[in-house]
Amino acid sequence: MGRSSSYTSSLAALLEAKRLVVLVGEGGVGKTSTAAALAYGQALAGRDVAVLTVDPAPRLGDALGISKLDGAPCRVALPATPNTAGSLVAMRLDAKHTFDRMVERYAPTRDAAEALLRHPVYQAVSGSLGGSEHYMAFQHLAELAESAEHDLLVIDTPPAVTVSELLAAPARLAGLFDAGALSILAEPARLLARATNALARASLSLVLAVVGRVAGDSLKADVGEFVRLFSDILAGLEDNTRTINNLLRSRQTAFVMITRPRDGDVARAIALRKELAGVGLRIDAIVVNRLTPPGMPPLPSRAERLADALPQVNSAIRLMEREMDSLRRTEAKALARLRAAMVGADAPVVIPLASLDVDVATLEDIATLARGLFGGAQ
Amino acid sequence: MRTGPARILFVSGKGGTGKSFVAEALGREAASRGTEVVLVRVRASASAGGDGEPNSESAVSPPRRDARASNRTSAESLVAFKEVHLDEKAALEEFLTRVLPLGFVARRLLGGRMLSALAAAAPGLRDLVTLTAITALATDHRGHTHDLLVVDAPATTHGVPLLTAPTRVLEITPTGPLTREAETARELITDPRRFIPLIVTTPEELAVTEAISLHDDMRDAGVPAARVVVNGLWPARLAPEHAKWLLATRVSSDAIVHHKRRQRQLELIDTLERRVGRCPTLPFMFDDRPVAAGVIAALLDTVLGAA
Repeated sequence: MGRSSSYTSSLAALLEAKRLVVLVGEGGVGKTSTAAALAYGQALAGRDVAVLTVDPAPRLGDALGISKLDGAPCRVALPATPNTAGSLVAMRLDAKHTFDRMVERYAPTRDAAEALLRHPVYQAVSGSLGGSEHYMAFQHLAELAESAEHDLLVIDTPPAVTVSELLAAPARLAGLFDAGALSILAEPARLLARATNALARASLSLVLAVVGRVAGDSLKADVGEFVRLFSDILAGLEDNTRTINNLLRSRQTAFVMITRPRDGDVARAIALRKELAGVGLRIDAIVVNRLTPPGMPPLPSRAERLADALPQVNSAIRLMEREMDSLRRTEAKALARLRAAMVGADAPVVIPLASLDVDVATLEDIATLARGLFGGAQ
Repeated sequence: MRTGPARILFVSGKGGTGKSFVAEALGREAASRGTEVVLVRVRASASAGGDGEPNSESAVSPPRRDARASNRTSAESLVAFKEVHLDEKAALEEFLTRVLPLGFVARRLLGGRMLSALAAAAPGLRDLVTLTAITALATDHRGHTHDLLVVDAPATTHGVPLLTAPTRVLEITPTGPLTREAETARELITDPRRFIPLIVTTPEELAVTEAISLHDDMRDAGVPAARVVVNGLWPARLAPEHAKWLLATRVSSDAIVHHKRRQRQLELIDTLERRVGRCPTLPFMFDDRPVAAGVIAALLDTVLGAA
């Protein structure tokens, strides 16, 4: 594998035995760019890596070659160095296609799969089911894990309101198509007859009208048919959910949380870790993203130059420096608070990551972030 | 003190933009002026069905007070400020229990799975119920109407499901009891005197892109034009000609970083304003001190003055 000896940080050591990395954290903390950097660094270290992202910022998507929505994988060019034996493929989650592939896989026959895929009810729900994006992210991950084409898979999860929502996604989708629930939708007339007041009937009519609208005129026949077709893949879906759950809890999977060095973010990160621990998932590393880097040492000629400057320029520059210092102190305090909360045998590695001070827009930026992650950590 | 129906300040934005902070700060500022305020924090449900567990919590609950929050209450006990949490799933359960008085069916519904199926099959239904539950909070149990509801809407990355719900429901069922609820809700959210949408964003690339699409989605939903507030603008410290001198002499790397950060933010705000009009800003805070009260007061004036 020709692993470079310069990549021996605590994060690199941690990832050595892993085949999957799941990144979690709130929206806007830099999850996608960190996922890209983590994947990039591991590819440089000689592994064959795939990174699956959900919703990259436009220019980050461009940098990875995945700004188009088609979900096609893109090979990311790595710098040619003597010991680069690794590779990097970037992919963008396409929930609809992933769902389609799942149907093709679990349908008993090719015809059954075709019928379901063409079904108007399926077409209406497969892209917009509650939680389907989360489920499909894990589903895609499971497919990649199975293919064994890559040494390491890195997945950037969709922003979830809560972790339990994220983790409930597989169970939720299976639950949605649970035979009991579907049988009610399949026999709307029976349920309607039981609804005794006008509002109850209106609510149910609304539900059925939605189904009716997407299904065309022959509501009952269509929904019934959809239910029958979908029932055939239910067993497969349940198997699949188990596989995904096992995968997420496997020793080969690492959870990496991304947060920012501010008090509120750190408090939420600590709460998130606790919440995950509650469902038996352990955070292996916490990346504290966008730390303000230390200022450069002043040039020897600086004092004279500043002395020459207009007094208001001089004082403005001093104020800007004080503000940057104040920001670094605020961040250091938040980082210290996080470290203080991460004690004990299963405490995650805390990795401070300096801000690039630009939006991550090029492969070079990603490479710089990767050096920050693996180069000088702890 | 005003009379008449409550106004609704609807604060939305993606996660991590400071949306909740802005909603609360504006609500407290309005309350300090003698306005009766209810801050409604809408929570997407943690486990929207599938677990088979009925949710025993009611849809509307007072917030759990942490130590820091309770420090504030004594000083502000004279101010008419109330905070409530609204759970979307619980609101839907309450609604369905109310309208479906069938033991068997209700139990199935509360079992969670059917609830998911219903919500997935008729997404407009859940959102309409949430919207109706929000507006119901404008009036307390004695029939007294508050002045201002500040809604801390669920973080959203794509679209505004709550605000499109009435139209979606009306398209499907043009007549019937739900129609009335949908029409009332639509009337409210399209009335510029009563409904004030606010989008919070940070001056960062992805956040700005999403704020623009959220703004356009709201316009398409027929609600009054949303104002976008930019949270976290770095301060201007140097005149342009002095900035040039700084960049040429490089006397301070910190000052250069500081200056460049603001310039990048101004570029993004420019892009944003070309699409959505003038955007008020809140300053970036270098430490954990709160934003100055005067700044929040000015923002509240801008936001409510537009109504």
